[in-house]
Amino acid sequence: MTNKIKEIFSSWRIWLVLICVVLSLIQIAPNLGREGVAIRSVDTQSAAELGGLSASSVAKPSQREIITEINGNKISDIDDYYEIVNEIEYNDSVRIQTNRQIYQLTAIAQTNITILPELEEITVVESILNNDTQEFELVNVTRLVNKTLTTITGTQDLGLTVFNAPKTNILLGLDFQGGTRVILKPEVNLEDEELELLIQNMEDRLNVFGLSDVKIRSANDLAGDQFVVVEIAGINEDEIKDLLAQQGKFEAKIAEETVFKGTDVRNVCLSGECAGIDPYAGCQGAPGEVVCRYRFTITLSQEAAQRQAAATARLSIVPNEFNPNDARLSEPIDLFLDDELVSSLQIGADLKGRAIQEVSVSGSGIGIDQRTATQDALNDMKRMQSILKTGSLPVKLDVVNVENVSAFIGAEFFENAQRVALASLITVIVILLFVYRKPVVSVPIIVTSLFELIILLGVAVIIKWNFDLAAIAGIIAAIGTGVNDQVIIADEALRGEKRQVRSWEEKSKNAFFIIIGAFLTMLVAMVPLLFAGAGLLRGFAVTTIIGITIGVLITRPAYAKFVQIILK
Amino acid sequence: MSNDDLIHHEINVKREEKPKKKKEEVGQNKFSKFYEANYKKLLIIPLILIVASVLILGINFAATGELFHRDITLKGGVSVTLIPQDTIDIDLLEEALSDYPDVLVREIKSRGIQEAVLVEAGIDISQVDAMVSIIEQTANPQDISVRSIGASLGQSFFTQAIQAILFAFLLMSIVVFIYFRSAVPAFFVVWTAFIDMIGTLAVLVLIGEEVSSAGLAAFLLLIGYSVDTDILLTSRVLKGKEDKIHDRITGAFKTGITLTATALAAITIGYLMGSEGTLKQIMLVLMIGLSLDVIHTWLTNAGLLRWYMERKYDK
Repeated sequence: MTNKIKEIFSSWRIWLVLICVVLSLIQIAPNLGREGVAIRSVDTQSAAELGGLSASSVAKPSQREIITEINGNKISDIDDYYEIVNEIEYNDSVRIQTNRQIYQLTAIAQTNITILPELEEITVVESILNNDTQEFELVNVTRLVNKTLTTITGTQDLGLTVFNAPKTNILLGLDFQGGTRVILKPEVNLEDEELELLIQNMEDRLNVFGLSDVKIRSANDLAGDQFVVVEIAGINEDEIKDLLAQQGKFEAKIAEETVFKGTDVRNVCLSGECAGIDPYAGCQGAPGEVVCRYRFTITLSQEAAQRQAAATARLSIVPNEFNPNDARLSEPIDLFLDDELVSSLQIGADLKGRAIQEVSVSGSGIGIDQRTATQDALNDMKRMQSILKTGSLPVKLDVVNVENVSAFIGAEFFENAQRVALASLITVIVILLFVYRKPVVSVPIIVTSLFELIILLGVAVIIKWNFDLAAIAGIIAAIGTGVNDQVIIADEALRGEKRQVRSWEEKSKNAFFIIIGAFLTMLVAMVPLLFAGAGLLRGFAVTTIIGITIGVLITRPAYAKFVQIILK
Repeated sequence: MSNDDLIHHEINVKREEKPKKKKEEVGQNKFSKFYEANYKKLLIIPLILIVASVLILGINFAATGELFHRDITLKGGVSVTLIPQDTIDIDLLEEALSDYPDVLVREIKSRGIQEAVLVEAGIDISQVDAMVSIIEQTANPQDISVRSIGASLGQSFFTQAIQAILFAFLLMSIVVFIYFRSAVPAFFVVWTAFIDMIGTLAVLVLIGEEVSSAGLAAFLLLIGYSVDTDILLTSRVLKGKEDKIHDRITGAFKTGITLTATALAAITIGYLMGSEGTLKQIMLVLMIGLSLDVIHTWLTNAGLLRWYMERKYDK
């Protein structure tokens, strides 16, 4: 017996399998005991961002920054996180400990601004063109504005999106993590360079919107159509599809004359001082239909400001009987996004002929109560800010597919998939033990298939493959074929023992003839799937192909060698 | 040395015991002899199945204009999965959505408790948001997942999946032909895979299952598995060393049935335990297909192959 064990371990084929398994395990890096929550994204201008937290995209899930403690409380999962975070009040000091360092944050208050009827004088700094020197200079200007009262209504969320810390390096796809997948079709097919630019632009837009865990890729199908597939993990937002489908051609016109475009915008304000719910318009309406207005400031280039000055200089002043201080110009400034009117602003009379670089963009959101209307308004504002900041996309996109999987449902699927896999494995083990009474033959079949699975997962980690339902189907196909092949080898080896007519070489040739035949047919069956239908079933084809190839090249020969030695 | 002899001998003994332990081989000699005598007549059974399948598909085509029913992944539309807080009123939901075309509301129950509610409708992506708000307001679910596919994308998936299957068939035929270098046995292998597919499709139509893009991908898998057993059979028959063709076939049968039994058992467990629609349909297609494959490989393919061999070699 010891001779056989020595022989087994002197076979290079068996060593090859063992080395591959070890390398795969290292890549997968399973850490089943890991606790904590990983940071998926950090909202702009939130308490978390101001405290120094950021969500950088990482190479491997096991490298993510994990929160382990908050204010001395141990955080083991998402429930713990929300329990602690919900107790935080504004101005509280929050100490967040991660696996990298310690952060100190201060919780920010949520405020509501009400306009008072009294007026007050304030001094603001504006950038105005000096007509004599033809240069822009900063000037102090006094204005008469309404007084505002700021009331604190609660505590703002810390601004962190988290999920349970990943226990392996295996990337889970949308179907198991929850998230949104949007497939868009460009109006015209783009060249490779343009496509790359488009994807980069879309990524920037999503990043400004506040989403960092974003995967965008292009896909072609058999008919030659081009698609862009956007996958955002962990988010269940419908706004994404509006954000992505909007090409974003921005134009401002006064009386049909374009005064500035999206490309003239030098800066977009994102911070609280110049972006948010409009304190002068606020929210109006009764419960059932509340409208909230938002505004944010954009800064134009000097040339654009001058063009605007030239246009306003040509307008006449319309006096206001009720408030002599509030005279307007005869035409408003209309803001268009993709040729659709977004907002129309009256221009104050004192701006006639003046080149002002700061322009206020406004819009509104609606909802059944003030809370939802405010939320809707802020979302729309974020969308406008993202579009203006990153510019328009090179081409118009149509949304052809939207999928939203909630994290809850995704996690349920994952649990279920794991249980099904385990049950199938046990079934296979029972049947094989029943058929081959000698465990020396049947147990190695199972062990070899497990090795094959581990190596497949290892390869998936190296190529950064996303595990979705299609990939699981591929695993079933590959492992199923593997078990089949091993049964063929085992049967061939055990057959004809009585006559002992054929040598091992012949038996091996017979068995492998069938195995390679089956491999080739499965391979050609999967190849068309690599290209069909916007590549959505590609996961299925790729996992199957990788799995059966690993089988034929690595694990099957090792199993054959093992059987040969054992049965000699 | 003596230890190895012992293991060797044990395996011999165990192999001879094996036939008595397998369920299918109780009374094996009787069945084997029956098969040998009547194998040509037994071809009637698969023939009936083929005719029945063609009839079912034909009737469906005449009635609906399609060979089989497609779900939203192959023709466009929206599918919404709701997880209820307590229980969702199906009738109320249906009424709220009565303005939308082709609305289907189904509930998934487990042991009498409503676990999930599925809403499907044949609407365009632009109308999805409005419909989802109505659903959210009426049903007030704990959790919601939405999937919407544009009609043109769904249609192109469909045509391309069919193209992929036909293309796979073609490539596979070429591979098998090159492998065996003999046209007629290669044709039998391809033919068996084909009638497996037709038969499975007919069963799906019969039980009213709507085929999804994943289901069509499962057909490709089925072709792969089905060809596996046929290659096993053909290779043993063409190259086997036993004198009697019948012995070659029974030898192949022992191995083949182990393969199919293992796969079927694992897949059936997967189907029964699975909770998610896509995976369940893949399992269903494989379950039906592999069951039919047992009949078609070991009756059709084996019978035809033997017929061909006897005519060729005048045995």
